[in-house]
Amino acid sequence: MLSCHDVLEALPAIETGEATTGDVRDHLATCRSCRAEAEAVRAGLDGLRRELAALAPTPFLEDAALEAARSAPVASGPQRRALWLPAGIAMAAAVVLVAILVLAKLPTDEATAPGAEDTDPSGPSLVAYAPTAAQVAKERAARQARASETYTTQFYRLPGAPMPGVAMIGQVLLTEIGKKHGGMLHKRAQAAFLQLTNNGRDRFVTLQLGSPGGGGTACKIRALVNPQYAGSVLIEEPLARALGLHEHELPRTITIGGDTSMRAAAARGHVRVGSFTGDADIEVVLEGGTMPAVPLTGGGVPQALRLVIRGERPDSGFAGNATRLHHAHGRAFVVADKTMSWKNRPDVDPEIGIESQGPLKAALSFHAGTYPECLVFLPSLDMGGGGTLAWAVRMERVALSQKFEPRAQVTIARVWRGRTAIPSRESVAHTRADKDGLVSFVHQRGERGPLRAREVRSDGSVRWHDLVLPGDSTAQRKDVAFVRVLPDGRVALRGVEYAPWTKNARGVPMQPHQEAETKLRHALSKVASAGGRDAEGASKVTLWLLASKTTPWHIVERVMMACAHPDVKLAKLKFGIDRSKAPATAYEMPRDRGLDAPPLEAQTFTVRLVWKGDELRYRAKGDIPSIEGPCDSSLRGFPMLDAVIRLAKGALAKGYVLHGKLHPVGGVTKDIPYEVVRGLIARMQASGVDQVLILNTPPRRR
Amino acid sequence: MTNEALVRRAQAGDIPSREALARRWLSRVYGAALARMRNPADADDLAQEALLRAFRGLAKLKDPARFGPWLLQIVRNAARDQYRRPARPTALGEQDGALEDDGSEPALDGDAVRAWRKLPGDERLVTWLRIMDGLRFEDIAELTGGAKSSVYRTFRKGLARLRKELSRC
Repeated sequence: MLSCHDVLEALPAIETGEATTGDVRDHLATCRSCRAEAEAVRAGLDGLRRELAALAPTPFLEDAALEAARSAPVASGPQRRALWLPAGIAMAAAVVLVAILVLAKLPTDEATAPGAEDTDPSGPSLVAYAPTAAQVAKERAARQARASETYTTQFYRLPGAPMPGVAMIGQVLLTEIGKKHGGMLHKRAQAAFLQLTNNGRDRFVTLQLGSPGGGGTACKIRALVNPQYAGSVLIEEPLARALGLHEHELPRTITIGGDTSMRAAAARGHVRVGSFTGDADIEVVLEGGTMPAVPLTGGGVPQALRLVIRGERPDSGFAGNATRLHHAHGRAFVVADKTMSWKNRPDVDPEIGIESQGPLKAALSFHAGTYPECLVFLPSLDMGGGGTLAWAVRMERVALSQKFEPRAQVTIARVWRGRTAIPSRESVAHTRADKDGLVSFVHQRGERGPLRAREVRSDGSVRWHDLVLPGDSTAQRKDVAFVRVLPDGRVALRGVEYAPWTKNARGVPMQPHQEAETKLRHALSKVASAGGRDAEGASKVTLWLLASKTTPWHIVERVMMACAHPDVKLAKLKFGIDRSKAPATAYEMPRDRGLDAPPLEAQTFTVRLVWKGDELRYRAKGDIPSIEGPCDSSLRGFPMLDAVIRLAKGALAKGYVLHGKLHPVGGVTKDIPYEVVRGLIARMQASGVDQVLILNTPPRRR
Repeated sequence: MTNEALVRRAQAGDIPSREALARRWLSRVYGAALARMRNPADADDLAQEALLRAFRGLAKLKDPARFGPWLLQIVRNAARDQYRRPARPTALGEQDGALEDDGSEPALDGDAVRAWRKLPGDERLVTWLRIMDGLRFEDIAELTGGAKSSVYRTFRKGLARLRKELSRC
């Protein structure tokens, strides 16, 4: 006969299924106190199990693990033994190997880039590498000299002549399709990018293709299109092979994804849509050139449009959630749970107008009316993506894939005066500044209801302001804040309590991204309508988007697009791209709204994170000499932020105003603590930037 | 397929086997990393680094049957290295301290996770492996190099501590 003590000792094992003994069960049946104890243990375990599930490995980590498994070198014992060769042969082999390595290294330009190897371990300052006039002139001369050359590497051959029948365009799209191998971006893609730039084909813009479907990460697809040969694309060779492309086909191809680029491609009539499966198999479903005539169904849907999903992610499914998507027999099935079933999402309506659709639906709609078959990037599936996918499945269209790329793009531009900017007294509804002038963030959890800011007046009364900010409405949690650095150096904060709107003005439930966009536009309108100039009638404004890992890229993108609102003057400073170099951009800002002068100078570069051995380093390349340095270990988990901050420091010291955006990429930006944001503001403030707007969407835990 | 067979094939260079190993052990490695690092972001990094090291050094594993303990040892080593690595100055001025990760708990964790984070490392690991990976106590004992009874005691102590913590919430 067991005692109560014995039973209580064994309870955890019983509750976790480790042990089952009849004696214990008998005891529990008769002993009320032990039964209560067992219930408590069970409840505790259930709760723990449920909550620990939120800490499960992220899809990024899964990808990284698989990449590590694939890319780590294999050298078994016998193979290693086979490497013991006679000294003479070994020496000869070493010489050959070195020669191969040297040759293979040449196209990348990375190791030989200025400052690539001899950087200060404490991290270089941009100041130290800022280009001098002589350097710039030298660079330009070198580019011009190279411009007439025909570039050929072992990987690429640029198109030598315009393809007949291809319309000329006045726009260049730079895209890179890269693949991360064990944490390192594929060098060939970088090499292509650099070579193209060096060959004078640097009239480009970068299309940042967002995650059109839902939250998660930005998808990584960029294409390089030569301005002379409209529609041509340079992609990295392994991917071209995977796509089944041959070099002679490349000029006819443009690789795109997402609505913005699709619209761009639509104007051109040359479209190729590619996608990755979780196993990096590539599907190419469409190759353009001419718009095929597609027989339509009664509903206007092309009959031939069909779902193509191949490859599997057997363990995690899409976005790490196997319960959300099943695919089999060439068809995709979305688990009809409460949030994913399109029946529960009346906003997921195939008849909805394209203007009111999200990017993915817009893309799908475009293809539905154009091509017999389509395959579209869906970088991740969360609420929005899931709903859209459900819609796509119902419409027999395609959605697919998830990729990550640690990358940030930073544009530095001199700010010209005379621009108006944001905030106003009206915008500061809830102000709190520490005595030292730093901001203290209001940390609130959202509840259902409209987004509001609370203003506590001097008489103690409270006034609520309707506000809007980008965010992921599905997560039901939102710590967001407008921050303003006042001219006198103080920092004003407008903390808001975020909660989703569920319906639009017509009473139709909104998709999260629609909702976020609407709210953002509303908020920015309010900010702008209040006006705001400093004592000199001019302001310098920096827009920072601090996007966390799980911030949906389309939200960030929508922020950008919202800045084009006619009432929002802020937008004018967003992209300091020299228009002579970028005749049209993916995020073309309204140039006719008070933009009476181009920026004096613009320099754009891209920051990448690369692993060098076990050390994570950042590299910045572009129109300025290369910068490379180790990511600061004190910013563990935020290497990209670290890199951007370093660059910001240097840029600001040189009199630039930095416009940066952190791409919401897996495993890189992650949770950005408020201390970091606060420190960032302090730096910006100390550097003479008089106003800072921070849109911060905290990450959503899975 | 058993771990041992998978490891042997992986050592021979079979990519699917390596991937299968990665998938199979990811959660455990991550749990071990979480037990060491507390912060999920750091745990991500640590797990990634450990897996990379493991697959790089897979050929050195003499006894494939001991893959699990060997892998967890790599996690421990990687965590130790990470702690040893000195923090470099950020060269961003005097306020750099504000940017450091203060190791604070993510604000969005539930009570149970917060309580779990407060457990000692071995209890966190054992509870993770038992609850999240569903490993049996004897399997955990094999992985961690302890006795089954010891693992069970650790688990029980962890649960008791959890309950105590939760009762304060």
